[in-house]
Amino acid sequence: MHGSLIVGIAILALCTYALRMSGTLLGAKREFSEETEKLLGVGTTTLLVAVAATATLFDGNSVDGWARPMGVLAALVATVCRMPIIGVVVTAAAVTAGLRLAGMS
Amino acid sequence: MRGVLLVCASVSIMGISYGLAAHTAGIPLWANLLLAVFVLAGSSEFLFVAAVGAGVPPILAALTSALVNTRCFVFGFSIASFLKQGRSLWMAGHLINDEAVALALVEGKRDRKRLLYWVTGVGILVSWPIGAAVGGMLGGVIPDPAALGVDAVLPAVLIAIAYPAMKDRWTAGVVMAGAVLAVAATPVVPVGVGPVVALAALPLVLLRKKELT
Repeated sequence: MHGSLIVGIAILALCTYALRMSGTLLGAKREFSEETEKLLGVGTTTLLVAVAATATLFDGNSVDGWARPMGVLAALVATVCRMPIIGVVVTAAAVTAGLRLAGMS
Repeated sequence: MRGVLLVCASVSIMGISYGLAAHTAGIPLWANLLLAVFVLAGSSEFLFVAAVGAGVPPILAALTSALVNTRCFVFGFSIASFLKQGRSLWMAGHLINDEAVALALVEGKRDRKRLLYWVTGVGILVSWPIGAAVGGMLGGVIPDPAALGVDAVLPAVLIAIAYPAMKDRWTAGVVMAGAVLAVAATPVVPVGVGPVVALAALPLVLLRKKELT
């Protein structure tokens, strides 16, 4: 078990590093015009928000209840109301925890 | 900079919940720490320990979990646009994660982006393994992180950081279209690949290049 666990960890670490470095090195080879940089900015924002959206609605590939989506919705409202990050995070966790305490999954 | 501290605090809380998950899955503490330091990519680690705990052979679990990190390839491209060339890139690459990229993204000037990226990246390299170790040691002692709503922390942090980057309606529209695509794709693509599908919305930007601000 230990041997294969170490191999598994090494594979995950190496694959992850390879993904990170291949993007970084490919990017480092080029000169970025201001326009490309802006486009990359939009792409990065798109990716981050997509991560947030999928992590909100899914656990892996399956939908798993409403408590977390409600908590994140509350966090979105808090963000729009210009609450600082700490307030946003506490709001998300508190609403989610509260709804679960009340029996929502 | 205060934002960086808060983000690192949130990351260590998520680290605790990951440590607990690893403990529950029967992953020994040393393995949990190796993952936290050398993989340093939360969602793929969660997936890996859950799969191994469920009896999937670790090598297979590693290959499927690595798919979650395909977005790091794109992030690599993005950080290369503001980081300095040279050997430090080999370290900067390892520090790629959602939060550091997001905090750098919303800065205007390149040197601010660089600073925020490095400080957040190193902060997470420290706070994530500490959280993971605490969670791994407290397994069975503290309550289920789901009851505390910890799973809502990652999306909340990302929304809070990325929100200012949606300065104009056009960017916001592209971002929303991407999110819809990602959500629609998630049930039918391998775990973790959904967000990358969002990039299919990017060509929309080219339709109205002039409006990029």
